[in-house]
Formats: sequence, structure tokens, C-alpha cells
Amino acid sequence: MKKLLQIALGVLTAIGGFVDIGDFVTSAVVGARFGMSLAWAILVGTLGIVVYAEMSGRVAALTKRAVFDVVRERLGVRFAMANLFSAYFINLLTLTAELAGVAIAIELATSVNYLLWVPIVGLVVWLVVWKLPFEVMENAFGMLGLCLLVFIIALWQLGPDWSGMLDHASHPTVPQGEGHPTWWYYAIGLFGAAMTPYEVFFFSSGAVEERWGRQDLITNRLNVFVGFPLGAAISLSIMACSALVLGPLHVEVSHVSQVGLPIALALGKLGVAAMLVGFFAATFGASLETLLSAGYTFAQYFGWTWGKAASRPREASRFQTVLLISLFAAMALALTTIDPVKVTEYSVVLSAAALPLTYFPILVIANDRGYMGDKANGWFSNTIATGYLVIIVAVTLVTLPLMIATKAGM
Amino acid sequence: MADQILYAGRQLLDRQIATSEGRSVGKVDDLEIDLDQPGGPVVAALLTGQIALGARFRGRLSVWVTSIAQRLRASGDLEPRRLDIRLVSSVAATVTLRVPHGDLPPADLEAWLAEHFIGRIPGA
Amino acid sequence: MSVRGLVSACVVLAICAGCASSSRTDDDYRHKVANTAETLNGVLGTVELALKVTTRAPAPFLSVTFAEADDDASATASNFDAIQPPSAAADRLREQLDQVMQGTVSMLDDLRIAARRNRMAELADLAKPLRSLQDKLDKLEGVAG
Repeated sequence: MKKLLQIALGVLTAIGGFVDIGDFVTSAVVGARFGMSLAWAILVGTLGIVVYAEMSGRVAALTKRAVFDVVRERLGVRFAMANLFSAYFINLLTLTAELAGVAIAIELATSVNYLLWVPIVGLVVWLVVWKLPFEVMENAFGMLGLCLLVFIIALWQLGPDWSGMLDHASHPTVPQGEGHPTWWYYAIGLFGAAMTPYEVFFFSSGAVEERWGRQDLITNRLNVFVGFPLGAAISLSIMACSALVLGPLHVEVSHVSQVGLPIALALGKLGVAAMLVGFFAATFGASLETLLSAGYTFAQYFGWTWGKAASRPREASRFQTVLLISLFAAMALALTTIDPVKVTEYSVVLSAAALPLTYFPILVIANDRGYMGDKANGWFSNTIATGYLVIIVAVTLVTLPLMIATKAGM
Repeated sequence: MADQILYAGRQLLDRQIATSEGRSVGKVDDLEIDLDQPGGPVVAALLTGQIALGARFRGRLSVWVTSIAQRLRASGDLEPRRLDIRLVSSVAATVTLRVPHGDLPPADLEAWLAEHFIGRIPGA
Repeated sequence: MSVRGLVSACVVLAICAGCASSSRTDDDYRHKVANTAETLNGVLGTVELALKVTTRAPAPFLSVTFAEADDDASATASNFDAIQPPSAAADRLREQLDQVMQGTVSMLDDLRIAARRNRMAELADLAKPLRSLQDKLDKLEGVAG
């Protein structure tokens, strides 16, 4: 019974933890601008993260090694260094966006400018990773993140023409007045938002920390196969709410507040409050995850002590130093008044461009029978995973040219 | 362990090293090979830490990685951190040592940061 | 070049690519007028929605929404004003759009102030010009042909 409760908790946390500022903003921006014509990109990205997160969890359970640890062994010391720097840089952009996201949630509840909240949010985030029982916080924020389910209720309340919407989503066409390159550019953004590498860094490091073994493979599968798709349902409903309410008025989404307007229209004050709580929890949880991932990538590349292996912070002083520097850098970047929505858009697109260096080694090691024994990939996961690797490489090749050609989606 | 045959490049290099109780020591950043053995070359020691790592890069990156590590050395000795192969108890996904954490000298950067930076924050 | 170097170079490039530039031809200028009108229309769309939910959203949330709309409109207006019109015909177009922009910004200023003071009942009155501004912007959106 206790085990069952734990599994349920894990799945709920996975749902709430799936959506972060990247999914939130990108889904809303795309919904308002392209309707449901890019819904498929969320589905494609979600299946991809499901396949690769499951593999990274399985590798962690059987080898006790997290993703970045494996990356260096399989890519070699130089390629892995390049991956370290690109992953770290993107992580920092994401952390900046998430911190600003938390501050914006507080701004929308208090009408005090978000820039004033950024240092306070940074301090609280640091206190949590420095001393507080992390799992409790992670579960608490995952649960609160479930408030974002309000988008599904709102969508239902708005009473769309379901079959028309489904038809539109399943027969995607580029809306009038929009170019093909821009449409593809945003498809990549949605794909990158779903497959952000920090999710597998964090997921696999957590599995190593919690000393997952063979018996936890079921938990792994349930978290990923049930939790992530339900999380993606939230992304889809954000997109649909935007498409229904903001799209007809030609609203260009550039603020989080605009994403809340459909909720206000459908559900009133209580709905908006739930959305703000959900958005706060999702971005706060993701701030913790991206910050720790920044530390994990460095520690796992160089072989430092990280996480719970150290009973006191000073025993993992290098890891803690990376956390502090990263947090200050992200706060400083946020405080330059750089537009958080733009930072988010760049971070998801650049994530997409950097995917192969992270996902290729996972696939290789999940196939290594010396490590994985009877739990190595079967033909089915290999077919899907290899297919995704092809997509990922193609995405990497076209992302930067598309970014320049479309002036980053203008 | 002493007479095990391994593909040093694939099965040893870049693996995580852990102590007997599972604490991280570092990566196998380089190997010290003894060429004078009658049966052919054998691995004499694992080299770990940034001084050893820097030697594997080329150009400025190499100089950069190594010189930072060397500057943190309290003693004048600039050799990489060395773990004798006799300390190793098993080689699998992780290279496990026979000795606990307390028996090994701490890594330079870890010790320096613990003393001068992280250790000074309340609660460390 | 390292991956990081490449990535940062591309970010800089992409950001520069987004900056407004001068117009050399009438045609180009008309496109910029149309795009500016479209952006402003989007801002007014947000405002139209926000006005619909004045009793259905928390006051701080509304106050921030109106303030952001005002900022967006002002930023769009000042971006447009920095573009050099290439001819006398462009000057006339500029004057038309300028008038609408001024009307929009001043209405949004009023809305922002009232929302900040929590006088939500006055908002509908202050937003009376909304419809006619939207009509004018719709027309200007069409000038690019």
C-alpha cells in the first residue's frame, strides 16, 4: 500500500513537473498564432522525451550512473566537454527564464514589478538546494503544479467545437499570412520545449540519488508513460485555450498575463488564482531542477561528489560553488530586464539544437548488454529511439539556419 | 584485479572512481602504464584530476585546465593525482577502490573551496 | 570554434536580425506600417479581452495586464517613429498611423492609471475609443496590399 502511494505520488509529480515555462510560453504563443496546426509537434516531442527519459531512468537504475556520467564515457573527453558547455549555457538560459517566471507569478498576484522579486526568489531557491529536504519540496511543487490542470477545465468550459479542433490538429496546414519557415521554427520550439535535456539530467540524477534498482523499473515506466503524457495534455490545453480566445483577436502573446485571460474568461477569479499557483509551482520546481542540473553536468563530467553523497554542503564544495555561480549568473541576466518570454523562446529552440550530444550516448549505453544485461533495449524501443535520433539530428541541422531566416520567428 | 585484462581505453578511461563506501573520487582522467613488465605493458596507476585531464586536450584549453589546477596546489609538486592500481578492487560501470574516503588525500579544488568559500557559509 | 561560441554568435546574430531598420522604398515602408498596425491591433485585442473580464480577474492581475499593454504599445510606437519615411507619400501614411498610435497610447495610459487605482468600473468608459481605433488599424493593416 505504501509502495502504491509512492508510485501515485511519483506519477502526480511527473504530471505537475512536466510543464515548465518553456512548455507554457511556447504552447500559448503558438496557439494564439497558429491555432492547433502545430499540436502534432507537442505529441512528437512528448513521445521523444518518454522514450529517452525511460531509457535514462533504466540506465540509472541498472548502472547507478546518471546521464552526464555516461555522456563523457561514450562521447570521449573532448566532445563531452563541448556538450558540457552547450548544455550548461542552455541550462543557464532556462534557469533565467524559470526564475523570472516565478517572479512574474508573484507580480501577477501582487502587481509589484517582477524585477523586485527576482533576488528574493533567487535567495529562496538557493536556501532550498542548500539545506532543505529536497524531495519534500520537489513533491510539494509537483503537486501544486497540478493546478495547471485548470487549463483543461477552462477549455471544457469554453466549449469549443471539438471535432473541428481535432480536424484542424490532425490535418495541419500553415495558416494564411504565415510563412513555412516560421511555422517550422515554432514546431522546433515546441519539440525542444518537450525534450529539454535538463529533464533527463535531472530525472536520471534523481534516480541515482534515490538508489533505484531493478525493482524500481516499474516506477520508472509509470512515471514516464503515464505522467509525461498527462503533462503534455496540459500543454495542449494551454495551446487550445490560446487558439480559441487569443487567436481570433490576433493577440501576439508576449506576457504571461495574456495566457491567463482565457482562464479569467472561462472560470473567473478562482481559475486565475489556480493558474497563478500552478505557474508559480511549475516554474519554482523547474528553477530547482535546472539549477541542480547545472551542478550535475559539471560534477558528473569531472567526477566530483554531488547531491546526497555529501552529508554536508562543504563535502561537495565544487558542486555547491557551481550552483552558486550559476544562480548568480541567471539572476544577473534576469535583472538586465531582458524579456523573459524571449529568453524562454530562445532557450527552447537552442535546446532542440543541442539534443543529439545528450541523447545519442543514452541510446548507445541502453544497448550495451555488458551494462544492462536482460534490460538492454529491445527492438521496439530501438526502432523508436533510432527514429528519434534521426529527427533530432535533422532538427539540429536546420535550427540555426531557420532562426536566422525567420529572424527568430518574427 | 592485478592480472585482469581490460581494454584500457574503453573500459577504464573516463570511468567514475568511487571509494569503498561509494563516495566519488574523480574520473579516470589518464593512466600510468608500466612498460617494463615482462608480460607486456600493464596499468600501474589511475591518474585523476584536472592536471591529468588537461593533458588530454589540445591547445589553449589544455593550458587553461591544467594551469588552474596547478595554481591550487599547496605544495610545489605539479604531478597529477595518482591512485595506485593496487588500490582498485573492481572495475565495472564504476571503478571501485578498496579504501574508504578518509584514507585518500582530498582533491585540491574541493579542499580549497571548502576552506575558503563554501565552508564559510553558515550551515556548511 | 566551440559549440558554445557558435551558439552565442547565433544568438547575437538573431537578436540583431530583429532590430528595426531604415526603409529604402515606399513598398518597404508600407509593409512596416502594416506590421506596426498589426502589432498594435494585437495589443488592442489583449485590451479588449481584459475589458471583458474586469469583474472576473483579480485586480493586481488586471492592473499588470493593462500596464503591459500600455508598455507594448509605447514600445511599438517608438520603434515605428524611428523609421525614416522615404517619400512624401510615406509621410502621409506616417501621419495617419501616428495619429492612431497616439490615440491608442493615450487611451492605454488612462486605462493603466484607472486599473492601478482599482477603479475597474471606469474602465469601460475610458475604453470608448477602442472600437474606432481598431477599425483604423484594420485599414492600415491593408496598405501593404
